[in-house]
Amino acid sequence: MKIIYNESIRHTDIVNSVGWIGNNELYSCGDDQKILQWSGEGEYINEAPNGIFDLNDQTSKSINSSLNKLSSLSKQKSNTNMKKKIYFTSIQWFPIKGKAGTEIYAISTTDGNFYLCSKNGRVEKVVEAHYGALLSMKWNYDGSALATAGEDGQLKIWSRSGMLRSVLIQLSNPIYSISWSPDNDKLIMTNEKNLLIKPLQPSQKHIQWKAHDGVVLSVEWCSVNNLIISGGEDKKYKVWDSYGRQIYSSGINDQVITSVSWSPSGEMFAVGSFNSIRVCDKLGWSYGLAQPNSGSILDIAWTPDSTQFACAGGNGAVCFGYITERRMEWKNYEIIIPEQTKIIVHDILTGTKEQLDFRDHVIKASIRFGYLIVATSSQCYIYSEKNWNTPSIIDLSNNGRVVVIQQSQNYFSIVDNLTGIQVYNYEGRHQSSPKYQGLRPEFITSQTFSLSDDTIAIIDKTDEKSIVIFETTTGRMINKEPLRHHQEILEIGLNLHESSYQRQLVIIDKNRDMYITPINKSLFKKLGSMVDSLLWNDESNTLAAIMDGKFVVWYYPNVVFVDEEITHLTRFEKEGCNVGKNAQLVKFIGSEATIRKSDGSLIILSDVSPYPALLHELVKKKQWEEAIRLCRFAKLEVLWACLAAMAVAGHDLNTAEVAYALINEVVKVEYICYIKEIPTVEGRNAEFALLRHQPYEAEKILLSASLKFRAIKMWIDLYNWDRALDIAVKYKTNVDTVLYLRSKYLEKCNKKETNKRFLQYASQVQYNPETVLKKIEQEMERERGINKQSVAAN
Amino acid sequence: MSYREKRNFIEKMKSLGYPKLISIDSFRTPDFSFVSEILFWLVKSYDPAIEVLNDLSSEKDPIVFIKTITSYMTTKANIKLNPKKLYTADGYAVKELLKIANELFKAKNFEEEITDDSIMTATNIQSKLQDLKTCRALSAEITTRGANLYDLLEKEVELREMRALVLAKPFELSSMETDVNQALLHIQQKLTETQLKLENLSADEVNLKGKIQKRKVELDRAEKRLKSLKSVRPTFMEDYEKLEEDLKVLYQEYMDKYRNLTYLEQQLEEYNRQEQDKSDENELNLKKMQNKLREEEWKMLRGEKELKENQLKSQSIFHSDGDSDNDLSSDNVDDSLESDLSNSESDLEIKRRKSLGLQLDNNDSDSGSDNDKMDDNNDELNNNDDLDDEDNSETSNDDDNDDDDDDNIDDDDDDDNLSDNDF
Repeated sequence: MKIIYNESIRHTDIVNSVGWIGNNELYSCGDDQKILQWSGEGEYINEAPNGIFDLNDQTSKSINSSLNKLSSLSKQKSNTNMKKKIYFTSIQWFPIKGKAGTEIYAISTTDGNFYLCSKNGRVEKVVEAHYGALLSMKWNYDGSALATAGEDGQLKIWSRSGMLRSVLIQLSNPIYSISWSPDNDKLIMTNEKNLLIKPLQPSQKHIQWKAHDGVVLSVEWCSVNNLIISGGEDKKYKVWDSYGRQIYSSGINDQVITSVSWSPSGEMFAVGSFNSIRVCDKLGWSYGLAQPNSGSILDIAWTPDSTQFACAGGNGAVCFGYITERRMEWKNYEIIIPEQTKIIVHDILTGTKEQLDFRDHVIKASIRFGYLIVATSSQCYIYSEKNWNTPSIIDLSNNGRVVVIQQSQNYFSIVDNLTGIQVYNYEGRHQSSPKYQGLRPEFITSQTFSLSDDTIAIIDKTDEKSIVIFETTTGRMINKEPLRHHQEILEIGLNLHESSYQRQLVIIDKNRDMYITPINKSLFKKLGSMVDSLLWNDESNTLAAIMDGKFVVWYYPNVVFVDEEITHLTRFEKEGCNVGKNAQLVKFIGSEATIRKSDGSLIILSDVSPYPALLHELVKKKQWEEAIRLCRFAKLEVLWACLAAMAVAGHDLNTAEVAYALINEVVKVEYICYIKEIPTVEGRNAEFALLRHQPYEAEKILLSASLKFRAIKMWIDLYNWDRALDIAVKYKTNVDTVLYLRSKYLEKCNKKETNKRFLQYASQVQYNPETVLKKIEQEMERERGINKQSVAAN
Repeated sequence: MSYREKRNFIEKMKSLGYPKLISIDSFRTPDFSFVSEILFWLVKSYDPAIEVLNDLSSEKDPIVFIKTITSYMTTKANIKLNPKKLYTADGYAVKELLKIANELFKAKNFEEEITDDSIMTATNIQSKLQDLKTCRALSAEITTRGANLYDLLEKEVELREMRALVLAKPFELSSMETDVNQALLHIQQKLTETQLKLENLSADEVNLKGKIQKRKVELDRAEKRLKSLKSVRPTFMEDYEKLEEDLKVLYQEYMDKYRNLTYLEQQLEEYNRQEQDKSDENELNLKKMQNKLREEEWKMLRGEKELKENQLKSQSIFHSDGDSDNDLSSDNVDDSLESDLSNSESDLEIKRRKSLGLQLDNNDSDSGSDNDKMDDNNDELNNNDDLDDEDNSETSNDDDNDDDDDDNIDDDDDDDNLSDNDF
């Protein structure tokens, strides 16, 4: 990737700060007492009107006049000599855009004041905030508060109208930079060489850690991915997580890092230094470096759609830049974005190149399942791989920022920070727009949002332990209650294949543990720990993850619901391949996976076995014989383990027996043989459920088939005496049997009855061992009888 | 506090290419060696030929260093530096350093422009050939002027003293005067300000005093009201007291009556018991009599009649009379007794029912929390004493049933179990 930039010097002195309003208008303020207005293409428009200077003129004049009255002796002095010069430090537009012309901004000065001004230059409020210079100023994300920090080491919170709410902290050093946390209840600030996170609640403790070897000059907290970047006089920039753990540290640069800034999408950030701008991925590795002749970059501002940034240069230059030559690959296609309004599609098989042109800047593009989705600032284009000439076009709301594009086989969804989630099919017809209470579309990332053909899953931002699930086509919530996990969830993924009742959701939680659950109820089963990234295969129901720096594939993740003991057998771990910390899975199609290491390099692994995908297909069609033949051909233990689990899930006894035999699970084989001898179908199904460790399911099956005795017997065999007694009492049968077996069991163990309920029933119910045994015989007889009847009926 | 100056200075130094890092925090505390290093570098880059002693080992060296540089800069570059501020080497020194840096920065930019120009003009040398003549004339002039200069410089030795004298003279008066005037102005302004403030203060004081007075009066008034309110007796107090006394008397009466009632009830019971005893005794007597009569009848049947008929005739007649009398009287007595008993029994029954009803009512209304216990007790009653159940009023029974559905079901289960087992 490259950075394209152009700089133009219009200020005659240092430019202190730049601020975008919308995607197409930039204001810059400099030490030459001017606020200039620029267009989105980097063209100078004019000097913005501003009432601040008039305000100062008036005050200086009034001072002069009073002076003149007082002293008849003094000579007349010109106003220009007395005019107090004001120097800006920062300009911040109000984050929520109102109607055109009513936008307001805050601008701060070196004498410790800040001014609230409307766009037409009228000064609405002047606030004396700090002693000494006001160094940093930020609106919070909903615009309800303004935080300012100054040379006096104070951090103050102001209301929207400029009333002081609180002095949050008093430090002994100047605070050079501050930033709000995504949830608006914490602030991060620089404190000499340290970074300090201070919650707004005075009762909570703050966190402070040493971040750099020199003074920290700039810090920013990303609202989307919760990461923090900082730059300091030790010429390094670093990426931290929200607990202050270092994720990345750059090498020593040529010059001091003077500014850092996240793009609003949270995918990259820009780092400014003397005569250089660097754009980096969120994990720290560098996309590109530009060296404009701009002096120190004192401020960087991204447009809300994240396509462009502007920098304030120390020699009066305002520098505009954007990233080009982003590349994407999917199967035989290579997508390159060489310019902001152009995309080149390169088909490697045929060698043809297609050039796609757009009216507006390309914000996001995504290619999967044979469809290329391109979102520009006003429209969304859908190209099919069969036809690159006539895309379907959807109009998007203006001024929204496309946050995420997700695709499944038949649908795709666009998340926009204003209109929320929109689901379309590939013909461009609108399907649904799922919503729930407290949806914050601007915080959605591809990690927290997952789409499949029939379901959509989103991590609830207001309660990160829960996941909201929607139906794709209607946009209705599937469960009344969202799925709840016991930990905060970082990343989710829905499987793309399989029918809807086998839809499963895999999550990574705060502890980096990976769990799998069916979507219709919270039944979280652990798959692995220390997981950095997960991805479902595009073409089959296999799951890949980066676990403890290793590439691991689960060929049949459903195995945890079927037979947890053979989970490790269905797993494939890539030997001798350590991808290091924080590696991310980029792509997992067929037998090929792409991993991005934390230093930005791509690793392509193409030796993921293709057999499991074939096996999945055969099992889906219930062709068990062919499946066995495939396994015999491949001679892989992994495959046999998968087949065993699939057979158990699909209730096929013979296949399960063969598969278990081949992975040396003698116990299981024995058990399957035992199942085969059970006379009734329901009995067998129940035993299958037991094989899957689902006694309650087994009980349900048995009771619905009115095989009460078998249900009671099952619980007795599981030594769950209470449950057995419950059922016996509930259906008023075999209480004596339970009591008799219980007493026998206790006799064997040389123990006395202590369970109160058993004591109670023992005193009430008298039984005769012989009759009990006879009854058991009868029950068995009866069951066989039922079977014969059913056979006869058939 | 000079954030802007510091930042600008750092920016200028970076663009001038100063090799070391200048931290934004470095001028917060005085650091002379650092300032001197920068100063030395600046002066050197201004004029590489300058000879300044950069040795700061002894105590006086820094002063000498600053002095030479300031004097050099004032004379050569026309930049006035404040040696005191430089010597303090803190935030104020930055302003002084910035003066030099600014000059250098301008020069650097200028130089860039010039070099650009020179490249442009280098091509047209041909056009300048016409100036060759004037050039030659000028070069000749240079030599003559040089000779002149040499002569004049010879006189320098004499002139030096004169110049020193002139330089030693005090500064211009006019500038002094303006300074003094300015100071005067400043002081006057301050004076008026403070006077204004004083006036404001006195006005505030008067105001506050007035307010305090007002508050005091209000307080007194409020206290008086409180006292008057305390002395007044509530209107219905007398009625209340009277009623209370009445209540006491009534209660006493009630208690007496109640005690009497219970006493009388006890009496009644005792009387009933006695009556019962009496009737029992009578019955016994009657039975005895009957037995005797029967025996005699038997004897008569056996035929003793013939033997002693004559002897006992008179006796038997007497006996039979007596018997009949006795029978009659006893019958009468029995009847009367029976009727009495039945009456008394029915009375008792009614009373018992009433008392039980009362008790149940009391229990029901007693307390909500104990209802469960109560119900349990009632259950026991239900199960064990059928008689009691019958005695209980219908309503109470219904209530119990409603409350104890579950228990009843359990009981049913028990029964079923029992029946099963029997089966």
